[in-house]
Amino acid sequence: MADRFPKVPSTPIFAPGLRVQGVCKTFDRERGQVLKDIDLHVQPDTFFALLGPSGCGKSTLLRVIAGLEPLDSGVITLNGVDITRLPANKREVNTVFQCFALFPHLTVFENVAFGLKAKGIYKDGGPRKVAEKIEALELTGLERYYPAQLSGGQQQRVALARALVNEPQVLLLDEPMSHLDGHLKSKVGQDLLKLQRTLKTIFLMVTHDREDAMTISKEMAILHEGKIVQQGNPRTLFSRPNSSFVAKFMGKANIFEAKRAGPSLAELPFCQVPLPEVNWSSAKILVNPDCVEIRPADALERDPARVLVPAEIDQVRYRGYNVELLFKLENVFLPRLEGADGSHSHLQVLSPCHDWEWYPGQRLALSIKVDSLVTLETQPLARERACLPFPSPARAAEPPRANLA
Amino acid sequence: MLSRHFWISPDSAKARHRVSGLALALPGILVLVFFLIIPFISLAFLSLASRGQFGDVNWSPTLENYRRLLGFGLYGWSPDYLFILLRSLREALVTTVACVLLSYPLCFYIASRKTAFSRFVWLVLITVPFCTNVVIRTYAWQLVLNPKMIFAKLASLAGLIPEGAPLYPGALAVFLGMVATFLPFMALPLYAAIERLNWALPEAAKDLYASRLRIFQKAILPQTIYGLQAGVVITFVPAMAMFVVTDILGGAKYMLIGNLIQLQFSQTRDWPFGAALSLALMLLTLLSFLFFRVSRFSRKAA
Repeated sequence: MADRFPKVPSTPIFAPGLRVQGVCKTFDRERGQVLKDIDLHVQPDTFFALLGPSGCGKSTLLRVIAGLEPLDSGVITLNGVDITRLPANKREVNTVFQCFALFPHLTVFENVAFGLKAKGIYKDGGPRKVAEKIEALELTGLERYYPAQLSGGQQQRVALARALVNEPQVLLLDEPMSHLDGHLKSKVGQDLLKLQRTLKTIFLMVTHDREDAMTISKEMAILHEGKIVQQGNPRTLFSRPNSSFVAKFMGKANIFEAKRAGPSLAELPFCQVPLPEVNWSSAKILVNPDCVEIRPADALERDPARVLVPAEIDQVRYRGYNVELLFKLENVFLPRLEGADGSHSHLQVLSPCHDWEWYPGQRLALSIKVDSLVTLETQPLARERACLPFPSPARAAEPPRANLA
Repeated sequence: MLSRHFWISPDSAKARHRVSGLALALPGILVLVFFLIIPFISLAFLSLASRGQFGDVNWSPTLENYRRLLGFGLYGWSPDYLFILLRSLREALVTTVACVLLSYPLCFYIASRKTAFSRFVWLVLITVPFCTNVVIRTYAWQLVLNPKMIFAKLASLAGLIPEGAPLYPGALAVFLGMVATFLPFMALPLYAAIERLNWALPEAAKDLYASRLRIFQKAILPQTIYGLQAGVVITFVPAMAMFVVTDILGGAKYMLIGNLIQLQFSQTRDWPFGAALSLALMLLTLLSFLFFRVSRFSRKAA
């Protein structure tokens, strides 16, 4: 037992919420490790989103937490209690499956009552609890229907009621909104959030849609190839991603290759920018949309914290609330370096609709706020140049990472 | 679907299908009429006749055969034939239950094999004995159970049978032979059901605190009930009428309704009584059939 679970929790025994430590999982040799040393901490009363592209292992992680999948190594604790070896039918964790997995031969009422009956606590107040959940999820009047007679949304609510009637400490949601479209999606999202707020338990949602994750969750983690790349609140992940993978996954378009041009000067494809300390040879620089302002072509920049770049509108994409402008950047020092979309150095700017009349070919200037640029994936300097007096705080905070793209 | 694409109103399309459907089914219906309904009627008539002196049929109508079946013979009431019927029923039931109990784990094992090839090999292993003639297969059981083989030796060591005696004829040999004969009938339909089992349901049941028994009862059984039902019917019905296995492995000690009927038509040459026995067997089968149909699960699954 000791070598099977070699990792001893380094934190105090009592950690509130759900704690996943050093979880590894391999299905078979060809597919390799599906979960690689996952560490995750979900505080109590949190709506948590696990975000990642398909095949990144997020559903496997969910099944591991539910107890449906045995793990190779690692520890899972729930409010300080080790549940690693507890089978699924003994865990205070319930799942809403992606396909709902309602029992087709049982009515809505019987489906919802299933967990209580299996636990053997249906007799004390079971019918009342079931009726309460049915009412809370707006299923009143459907008690005697069979799942096949319900719509997809109703089936999902039955699945939710069936899980929640057991009052689990953690509710796992596997892609709860993947099969819904626009309008219904936001309604289901709001309903889930409302439920979480009234129940004050942990809701752990798996999704591949960043907008679902960002709009609902209080905290999220991004998974990539079986590893957690970054964990934090949606705002941090959006504005301070720690790798270009996270940046791209969060929908960022403006990632540029940069080279060192001096001790405090970096060279982007379209301009040189002064940065506080450049102790890397090359890196990727993320231009957040909020740090770009559009100026007339003949504007002058007096603010030393900003850099002015001449640009020309290449495409205008009308999107309702705002306009997406794709700028062709002039003055390209490093031609043909790849932008985020894989083609060339376009800079994407979102502008409110009422602001201006845009048209392709329009010549303008972009004012970029230097201190809100994010430097990612720095490559260390060559050896003779690396003897800097102090290690830079920026580098210490952001260790070089393998290119994840 | 068709009607939507070809601009035909659904009603007319359905009507046309009804007509062409009857035309296509006609050969099958004729076969049924000639080979099922007509023989059935003649059997019914035959059962009302009686045996002539030299084994011929005396066509004057009488209910004597049925009285005899119910045990009213020359020497007062003795329910020998009813016992045979009941024993056949019990034998078929035991065989069916044993086949179900063996088939579930077997089918789960096969369905969980990773490659399509190994699943195929396992299915072939199940079906191959099924392709051999049942008489030959049953004689093979005699070889297996003869005194020189390990099983009989072990049994005599344990003191269950005398030294040098075979394990047949007897109830155990009949039981073994019956299960071996009917296992494919149960395993194949059940495998078809288990192969397309929706595993999300057992998982959901497990997630909802169900014990193993409950998972089977609530999440696996309802999904496999149709396969199980088909398997039970095609195992139970022929097991009721089986006479080859009981003849070869049961000997004279183990008379079932199948043997009795065969006896009437071959050696005793009492065709009317044989017909009455056949009808009784059919009635019994039909009754058990109805029992399976109205069983709890099929109603719920509908």
